[in-house]
Amino acid sequence: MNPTAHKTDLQFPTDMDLDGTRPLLEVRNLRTSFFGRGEEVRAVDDVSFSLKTGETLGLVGESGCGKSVTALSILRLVPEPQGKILGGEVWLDGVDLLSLPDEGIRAVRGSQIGMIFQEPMTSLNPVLSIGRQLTETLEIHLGMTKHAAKDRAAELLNMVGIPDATSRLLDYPHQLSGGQRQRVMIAIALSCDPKLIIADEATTALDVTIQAQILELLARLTDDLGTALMIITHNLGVVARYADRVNVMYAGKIRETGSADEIYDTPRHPYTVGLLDSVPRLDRPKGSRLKSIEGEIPDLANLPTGCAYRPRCTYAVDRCAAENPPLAKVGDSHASACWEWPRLAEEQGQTVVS
Amino acid sequence: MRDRVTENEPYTGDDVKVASSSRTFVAQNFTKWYWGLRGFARQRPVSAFWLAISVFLILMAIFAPLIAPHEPNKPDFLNIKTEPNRSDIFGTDQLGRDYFSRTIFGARVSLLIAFTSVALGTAIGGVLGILGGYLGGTFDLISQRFLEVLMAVPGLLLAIILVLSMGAGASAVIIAIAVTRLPTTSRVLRAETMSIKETQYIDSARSIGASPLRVMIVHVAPQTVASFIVIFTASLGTAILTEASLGFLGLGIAPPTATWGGMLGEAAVTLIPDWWMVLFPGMFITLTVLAFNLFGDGLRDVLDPRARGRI
Amino acid sequence: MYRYIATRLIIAIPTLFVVSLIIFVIMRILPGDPLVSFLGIELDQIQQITAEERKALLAELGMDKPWVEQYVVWMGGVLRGDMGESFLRGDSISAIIAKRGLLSAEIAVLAVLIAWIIGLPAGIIAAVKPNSILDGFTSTVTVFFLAIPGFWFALLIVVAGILWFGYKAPITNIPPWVDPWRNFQMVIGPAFVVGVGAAAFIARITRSAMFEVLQEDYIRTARAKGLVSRLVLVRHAFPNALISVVTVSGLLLAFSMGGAITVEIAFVVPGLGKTLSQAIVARDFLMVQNLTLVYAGVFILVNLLIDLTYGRLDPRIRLTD
Repeated sequence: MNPTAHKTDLQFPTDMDLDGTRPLLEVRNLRTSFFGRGEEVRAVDDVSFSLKTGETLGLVGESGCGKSVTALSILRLVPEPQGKILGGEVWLDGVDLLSLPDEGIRAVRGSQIGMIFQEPMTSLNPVLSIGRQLTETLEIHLGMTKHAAKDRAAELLNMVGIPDATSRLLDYPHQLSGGQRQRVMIAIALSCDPKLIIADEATTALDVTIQAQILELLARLTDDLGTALMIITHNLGVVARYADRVNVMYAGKIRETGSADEIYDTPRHPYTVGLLDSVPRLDRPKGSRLKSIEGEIPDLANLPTGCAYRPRCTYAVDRCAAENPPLAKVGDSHASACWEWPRLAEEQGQTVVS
Repeated sequence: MRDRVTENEPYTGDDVKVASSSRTFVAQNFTKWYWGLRGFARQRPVSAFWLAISVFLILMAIFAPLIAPHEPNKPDFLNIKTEPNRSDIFGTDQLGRDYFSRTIFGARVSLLIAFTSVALGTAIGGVLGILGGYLGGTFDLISQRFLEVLMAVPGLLLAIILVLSMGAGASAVIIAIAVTRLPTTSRVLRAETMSIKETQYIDSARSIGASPLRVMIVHVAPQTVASFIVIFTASLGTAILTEASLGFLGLGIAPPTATWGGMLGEAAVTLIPDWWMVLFPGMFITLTVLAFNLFGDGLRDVLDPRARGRI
Repeated sequence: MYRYIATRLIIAIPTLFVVSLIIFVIMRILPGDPLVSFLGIELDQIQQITAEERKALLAELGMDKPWVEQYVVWMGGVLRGDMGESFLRGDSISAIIAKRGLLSAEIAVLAVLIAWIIGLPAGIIAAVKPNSILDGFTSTVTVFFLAIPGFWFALLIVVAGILWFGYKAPITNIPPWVDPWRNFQMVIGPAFVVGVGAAAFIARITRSAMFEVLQEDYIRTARAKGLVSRLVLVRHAFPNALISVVTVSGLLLAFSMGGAITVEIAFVVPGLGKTLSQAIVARDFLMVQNLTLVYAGVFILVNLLIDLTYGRLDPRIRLTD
């Protein structure tokens, strides 16, 4: 975690290689584990990826695969003492967040990176007014006066589609619905004009109809403001619609990464294929069975040797049990961590350009 | 283990999965409890230490006649109010009685009353709670209102007027303290019963035609044992303090029997209290309450992990 | 909020009446000859009382009338401010209670101040730095003070005062406006002992309330906004924890009231506690009955105030109903 280190050898190409611009966010070899009852759970196991300015990245995977912990690690919000960031670098616009002193990371939180959490019902403080919870960040990060902050807060509420903004500022969270609370969370996240917003399962706890509204709102706002967006979710449909790039995580590691088109049209990792196959689709013939991935989510404290997906993989060969495959380039901006990806691509009917 | 009553009903096997009657519960679990105790000592050495102290105090009370060097109630007017010395380690009181012996015998009264009253109070409170939680309706409504009103009188005061009307004496004190334990116990067990009631296998027990009484005794009660034990140990400390307070006020066991509270009360009445008359009984009260409380804390941590970090 | 207040008020009044009923019934219904209880006549002497003497004695006590009438007479008097006359000295009970009550009230107020001023910060600090030396120290002290009988602590202080400083506090009742310094000397001892005991309770509850609150999601949001720890604690965590602590204050109150009685006696302070003790010893049952009613009444009133405070603190209650 040396702030003056230069770019080290990465396992896969970053966007930098492709068009020469520096990514907004670069995560390198991030490792975060949880310790308890004598076990170590490797929640984030050597994860590297990057995100360009204004880009929308989808971080996809089942529950427990490490995607939330990755987000928490970026902001150094991993609950201590049971959790600990063990190593790696997180470069935001040329600064390694993991090596910043406490005041430094606090300056980043809420102002350069905004975060939206999953549970709108419990993520807002019940004894503080909405207005207070909004003006806090404005006063602290932007040094606004109370008056100016109030005006800006009303503006923000308007922006996220809450009517009657000025009087709403005096309301308390229990007076708002789940959808409205999440809008407030979005407003808070956007309040200081951050470079990046991380939305961790932001819509999972909402009604389906509201989900769509909130996602639209988020996507539109980040587009208009040029903010980068990291959508963390287990819902592939969401990602398909809004993401520019997609990272697929399993058991603490990224298994496949690529543009949305690449991932959806030509998935090249068995897990991704399994995920895509299990999405119920209206265009399949009636009566066709829902496909699901065999097996169970692995116990992160006792991972098998080699590739962690192997027990559930239909393409597994002996090598998979012995060595964990690294991410290897399989397309223009597409990488996959699978020994058997060519065979998979063929069986999926894809054309492989070597 | 097949339960006797299912002879006449179609055996669905549900009863096997649930705890059977209380007696078999204890028998089945004895080995579990023994190893549990060893594990407890290993996991929570501090609590186990306080358990040991509690046991020591109990033994001290039981074997008082063997340990005490002198007769606790025998006055010796030649030696009144002597400071602690080689022959009378705790000194003597205003009637010349050996304070050390009185202190040891005092343990008998305090512990006996504490255990009896807490057992009585938590048992009745527990039954009330389970009945109220399970049956609901008017019974629950009335009993809860009643207990609420009971709680409107601060604990010690309630005990005072109860003892006053019943006349001083061990049984009066026991009943009085037991009554003060009713509201809390019943409240906790009622809440517990209400959540147990929602569980599925209560439904399955009822679906095979078990009567409410049977369900409560056979299925609900065993599950509340953990909470019950926790409340029991937690109440012991309060009971001892209440008994001491009553004794201090002159409402406890009649003199000349030695009780810690009474000894302090007698000391307080003298214009210039002697330090040894004040120090020792109080020390023992504190030690006993500490021991039960801290042991109870550890027990609660083990039996009810949800409560960790709470009172 | 208004419905909340109104409900609480409406419940409080009948509760007080039911309590008075219970007190009344307890003092009469339980086994034992009323002459023994009320006049302290020895059991062996009971046999020697003739039927007429018995009737006369009971009439004197007003106990020959049916219970309902006795109750009405009593409560009727109470509502008019007249609690009857003390068996001990024939003085008006209300007057005695008013005079002595002032001292006990002073002690109570002072004790509350001490308890919260010491207890809250102790609990917060312990929660913020868990498992530190400070936390361990606070925990130990807290647990210790919860086990010490208040009156013993009081006695120790009295003895220490005499032995080491040759000091004995004044024992005659002086209102604070007549002689503040003397009054203070009488009041500070009991207030300190009761206050410290209550502080231990508060510290413990505050600590666990803070722990619980610090696990909540909104604290994570607050940190994610880049707020300094101190701000997260003071503005976000503490107000929520305080709500929990206030809710449990009723329990603390019951605990403290009982303690205050015995502590006053130990310090030989002429407050209500001492009055109660003397009444007990003298078998002055009417005094005991009325005093218990007063204590219960104060208890109900303060609980009502606690409920109202809780209603104000929690916006979920303040702004609905």
